Amino acid sequence: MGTIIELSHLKKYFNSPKGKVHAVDDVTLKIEEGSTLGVVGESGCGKSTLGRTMIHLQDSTDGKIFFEGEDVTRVNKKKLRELREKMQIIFQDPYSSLNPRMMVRDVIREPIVLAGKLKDDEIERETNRIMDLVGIEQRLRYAYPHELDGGRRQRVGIGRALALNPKFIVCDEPVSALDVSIQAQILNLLMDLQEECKITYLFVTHDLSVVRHIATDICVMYLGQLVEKSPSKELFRNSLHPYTKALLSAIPTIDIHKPKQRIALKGEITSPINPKPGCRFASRCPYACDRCAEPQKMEEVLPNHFVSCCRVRELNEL
Amino acid sequence: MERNNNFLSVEDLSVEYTSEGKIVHAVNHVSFSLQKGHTLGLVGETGAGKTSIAKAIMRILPDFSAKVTSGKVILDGTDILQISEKEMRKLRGKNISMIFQDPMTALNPVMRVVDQIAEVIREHHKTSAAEATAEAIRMLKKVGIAEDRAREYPHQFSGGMKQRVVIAMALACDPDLLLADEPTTALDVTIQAQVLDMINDLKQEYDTAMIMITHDLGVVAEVCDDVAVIYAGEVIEMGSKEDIFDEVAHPYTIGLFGSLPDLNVDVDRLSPIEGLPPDPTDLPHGCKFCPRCSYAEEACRENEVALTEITPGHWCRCRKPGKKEAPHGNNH
Amino acid sequence: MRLSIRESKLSTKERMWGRRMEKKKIRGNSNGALVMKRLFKKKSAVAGMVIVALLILSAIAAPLLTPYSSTEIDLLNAYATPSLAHWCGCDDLGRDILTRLLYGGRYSIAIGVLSAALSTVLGLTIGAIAGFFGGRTDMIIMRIMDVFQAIPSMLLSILIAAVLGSGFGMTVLALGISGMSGIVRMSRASILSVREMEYIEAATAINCGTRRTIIRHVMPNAIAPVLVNISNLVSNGVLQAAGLSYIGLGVQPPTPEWGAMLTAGRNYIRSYPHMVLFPGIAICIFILAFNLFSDALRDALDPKLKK
Repeated sequence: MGTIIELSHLKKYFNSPKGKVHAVDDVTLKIEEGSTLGVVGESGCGKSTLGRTMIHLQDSTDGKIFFEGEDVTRVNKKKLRELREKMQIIFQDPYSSLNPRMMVRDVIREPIVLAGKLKDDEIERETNRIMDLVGIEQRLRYAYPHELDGGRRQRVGIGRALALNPKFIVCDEPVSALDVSIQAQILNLLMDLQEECKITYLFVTHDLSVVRHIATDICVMYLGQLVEKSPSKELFRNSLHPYTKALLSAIPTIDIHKPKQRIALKGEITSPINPKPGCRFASRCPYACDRCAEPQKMEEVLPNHFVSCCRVRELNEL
Repeated sequence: MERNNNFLSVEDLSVEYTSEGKIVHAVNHVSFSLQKGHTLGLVGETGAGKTSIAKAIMRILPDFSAKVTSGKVILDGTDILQISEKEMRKLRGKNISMIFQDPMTALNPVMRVVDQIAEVIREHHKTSAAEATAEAIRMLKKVGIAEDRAREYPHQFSGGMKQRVVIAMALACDPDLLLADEPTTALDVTIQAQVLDMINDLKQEYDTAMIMITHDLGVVAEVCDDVAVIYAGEVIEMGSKEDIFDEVAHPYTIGLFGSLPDLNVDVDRLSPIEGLPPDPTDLPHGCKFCPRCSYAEEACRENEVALTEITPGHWCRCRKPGKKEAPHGNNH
Repeated sequence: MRLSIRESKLSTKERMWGRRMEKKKIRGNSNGALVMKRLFKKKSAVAGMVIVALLILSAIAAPLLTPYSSTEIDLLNAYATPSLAHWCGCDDLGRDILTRLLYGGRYSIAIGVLSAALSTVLGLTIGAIAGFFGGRTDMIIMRIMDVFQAIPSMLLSILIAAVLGSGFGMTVLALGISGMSGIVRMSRASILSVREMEYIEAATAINCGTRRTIIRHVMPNAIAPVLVNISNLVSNGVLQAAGLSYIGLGVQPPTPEWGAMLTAGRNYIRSYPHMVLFPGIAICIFILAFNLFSDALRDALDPKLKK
């Protein structure tokens, strides 16, 4: 299994009246084929933008994107079309991600029609295959999205993403708008599909318990930057960055007997507009010191466990 | 659950909506009670009727489409469903307050936050404007908003701070009963943790009774003393937090726990509850959960199932309540 | 998998739909048959359609329905009140008002409908360009529209009519242009909100081209609020055409036209109210019927409304 996608110092800035919003700032990472990389962070940390920039739904400001070893940062229209067939996206909100005037069947067959590789009857067969794959009953083929419940709508969205047999799918909070019991159905579906179709996922979410369940590796993002990256289990067992620790301690758990040791964070998330060069978490960090004002470097502190914090070794006694 | 020292008791409450000529049975014969200083968690999925229960207690159901068809809501000895609208208006804000999910809809965008809270205070207490403002600033400090920010407008605040303003407003008149409808759902985890901690502190300080509506069992574990699980407008399981989290009895509640990815345990597959919640315009006969229940039998479909007390204080609406393990058996 | 109640109910409905769709081989978005079915189900829509159709038919068949001429002056019958011979009475020149109403429908309805159609086509196209492309294009278009809207629409039609000349075609053009800016604004706003939806982003992700995205994904969802406004435009067109006629820039006398008849009768409103009453009723009925129809059409086009 090789690397399917690689980002090198990827940056995405937006212009706003108040200045440049550093939505994604200098992100470097690799995703292995067939694995799931979870991206965790709070709202506004740039995790969705990261996913969208990776699959060329938005242009990157700087840095490089490699897909299957090839530099695809800047591509022409023809190449972009080919690329998009290999990279897809599943959206958060099953209510705004489906065109209310298109029937289930049309939503799923549109990408196949647009790809223009199949004949009419083959398209029909392929559409049916996808519907079976994502578990939408054939009787719903002529239903409109508003006639379906949230879980089914999300299945349709997944079907649309799968229609072109992509290799890489960005899942942008695919279950956070769903009820718990439906959420579990969709997570199981995504995991089955991964096994069956050998898909690589980038799983963007704010829900740590979901990401622990589905991801092989996790990176934690804070205001556009990665602060920690490690294999999933390692991160939950042995988180090193102060932000990750605070984040993990903040999750309400269903275990009522374990006493909570919550790391209280002061203050609110600072603005991502024209941030200062140092550690962006410093303003809320209980361990902030003078050195935090300098730019931080991502370091491999333990095997495969990367942290961007100048005090990580002394704080964790490594 | 002792009847006599209950501060709030809801008895046999039913709410119906009419929509496109169909009757939606949103709340069906719900009864529960709550003591002073305690927090009851109402847990359930979207459309289970949690919010309708809270709105019925607040008497803010939409007049044209909703109707309370039966029941009593007894607050401190008075049935508040019977009193006049004028008296109810006095109770709202002063004795009962509600916190909504989206803080933005609860705040007036063109008014300074301190003035909004002062207005609530002046509506219920005869105080001078200056006194009310001073009290409002004190409330804001209590929820962690400094005095120098009190004169700002809602849009200058982040989501977490707005929700704190809403909480300060809800607590401004020292209510006896606080209804919180998914107060932290729109917030990030770290901010949610701050808000939950704050709610816990304030509750202790003021000895307020609280109903916490949520779909998040984690939030329930953090703040609630008692839990009522709502399914298709009915209470299907009710008891102390320990009863529900340690001795879970109803198949639906077991399913809810099974659907939850656990932070501390590894599972290969989650065990979701198959199917969908029933259509509230056309509820199934017998047990409302039986179409999705893997333990359902003929008798479950035929007869209504009553809420029975399985151990003292632990009620369950199931013919065969028990310690059926969640299918993957990993809960504890 | 167990079926819940809701699913099985949905299934019957869907199966019925599915079969019908399969039979008629209706593809993609063009579910015209369904829209028509929903439209005919609504009583007010049917009533509106029938009345509009009757008015149009009677205007076309006017020579067969009345023995009088619409332009011939008969001073003996001037100011005649309604009678068996002249059901709606006669005007100041003794012309039968019912006859003039029937013939006038030809011009009034045509002006209203054609000018509204012109406004809509121009407005939707320009609004779509502004809303979808945004940025500088949007700014330039919207500033021009600001200028249009700053001028009162009556004044604007007078200006246009004064430049282009009078007569039927010119009136339609003048009214069409003056009604356009409202539609541009509305369709732009509507498109901007649709453009934010995730399904537009999804369309990009599946390689859907710009033109196809606009036609298949943006327009069908953005058009409904604009459609409602069209009925307003039609009614406005009828009334403004009347105003234009009054100051001599619209349809020229003696051509009968509802609005012109209304303004002509204005001077006699105290002594001979029937001269304004009947043209007024005709305009009212037409606009009411048209509104009923267009409201129902909007509902029928919205897949979210169940009935």
